Amino acid sequence: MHVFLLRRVGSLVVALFVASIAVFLLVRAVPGDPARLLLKNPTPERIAAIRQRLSLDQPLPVQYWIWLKNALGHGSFGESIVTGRDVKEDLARTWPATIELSVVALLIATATGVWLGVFCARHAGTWKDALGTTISLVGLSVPVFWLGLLAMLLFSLELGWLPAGERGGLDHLILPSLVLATIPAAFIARVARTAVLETLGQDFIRTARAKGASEGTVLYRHALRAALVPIVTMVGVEFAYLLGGAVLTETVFAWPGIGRYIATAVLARDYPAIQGALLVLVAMVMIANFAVDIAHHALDPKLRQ
Amino acid sequence: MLTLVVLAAALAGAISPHGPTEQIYRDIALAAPSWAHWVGIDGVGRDVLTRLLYGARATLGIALGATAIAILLGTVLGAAAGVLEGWFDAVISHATDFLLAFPSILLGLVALTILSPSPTSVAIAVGIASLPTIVRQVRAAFVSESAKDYVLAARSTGAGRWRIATLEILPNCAGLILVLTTLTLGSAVLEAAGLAFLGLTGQPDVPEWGMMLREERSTFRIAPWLCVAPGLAITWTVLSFNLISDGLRQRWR
Repeated sequence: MHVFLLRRVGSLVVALFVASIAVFLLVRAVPGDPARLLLKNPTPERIAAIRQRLSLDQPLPVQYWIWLKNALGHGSFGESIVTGRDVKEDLARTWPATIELSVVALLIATATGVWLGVFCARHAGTWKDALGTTISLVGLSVPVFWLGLLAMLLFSLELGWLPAGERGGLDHLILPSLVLATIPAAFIARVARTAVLETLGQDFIRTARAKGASEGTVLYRHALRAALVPIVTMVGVEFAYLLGGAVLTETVFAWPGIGRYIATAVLARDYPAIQGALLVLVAMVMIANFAVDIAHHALDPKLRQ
Repeated sequence: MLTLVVLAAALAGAISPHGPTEQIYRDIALAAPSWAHWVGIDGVGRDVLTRLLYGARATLGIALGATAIAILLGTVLGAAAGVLEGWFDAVISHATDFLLAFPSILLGLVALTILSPSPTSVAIAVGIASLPTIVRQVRAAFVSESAKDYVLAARSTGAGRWRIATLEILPNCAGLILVLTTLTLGSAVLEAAGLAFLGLTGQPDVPEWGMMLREERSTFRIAPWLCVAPGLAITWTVLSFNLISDGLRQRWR
């Protein structure tokens, strides 16, 4: 276990390092001179001055080194072109909102997804299974931003039950997290259905049934436990999706998170902001995947030896 | 189901009496659906049904382009990684694992920041964003097929690596590639609509479903049907691709 943990931490560090290079180069690959974009009326002298200030006159590896040193040493990603604040401050304000939204959405998605998957597997081949499968297929096909608009129209504007967007108390969280959870829930339901169906055909289930265990115990204690590995893997993959889906959901609900921040930054070509936000998002996904790997290891007895 | 969408795309010009950008009904802007205008009139006086029909063309075009890029490149890279093994495989596998950590909409977003906004760039951006998943699946299929007896038989007759890959293994992976194609078509429609909704694709004149949703969003309190229609169109199209993909998968297993 220790060797595994050590190796996994090592590869996480390497991946994060590569990610920082990739994010840095991606933004530098954008055509156009950032110095020119920063200025409203560029003159050659002012361009030269700003190039020096942002060390754009240095060779690329040196630029990268400066950027990384600032990011790691001071946690600074440079000044945002739009807000004029250090990107660090913007990110510090936005990331809790995104984590709050995606963790709640992930919980909803896992709970409903697993329930729906087990429900379908239990009634396999009947109309209930067909209904559940159709629901999950429709869930996969709906554009989240549209669903968000409709939910807002119905529940906040027509019925007035829930607030329409922006961050606040628990009631503000309900609509965005439900909308964000739709596609992951549908995915998890499909995976859970297949996994549970597969385990239901195995001998130990017959043994459990033979010894008189109730159907609920058989399903949730025996079958689901054995089917947990693919489901946990799926949940990890879905977290990456959730952080991406957050871009759209946050935009619709005016949710002040990293997703909306990055969408506005891209529209405004705010490079320091894009670099910083992208790196933080990718780091979140990588750390989540790391956690899933560890959980995977703890759950699967075959891997533990 | 899909036939309906394809017909709409193909016959948009023939069915519809108006042009997609004609603002001829300014006096009845935001009119509710009626017999003359089935889905109503938008805020600047354009017939929404017309725009939906032309939108099918734009959306399907982008999805087809993106999928062609993703499937062709993905199959070649995945197959090469599965057949060559060694360092090339290691590089490709690590690169796909790495890219999978980037949420696909972010990959598209970044690609669009680099490319100038146009339907072609959207297709390229969405294609690149769906690439890692396809490479991974195709590679896994090639690796598992390589261990089977028929490959061993072909190898024992002295067939070369590339001959085995293209003539023996590839036909056996055709089912998987077909399933992946339909799946990618569906997700490409969703992704392209999402990017357009964020306003990253420029050109408000091109009637594209995601773009229409973005435009209609400002008036959706007064005229909700304008928002409902493009969203339904997207859901319908993606659902039909997903149903086809499910059907294909069951046939091949």
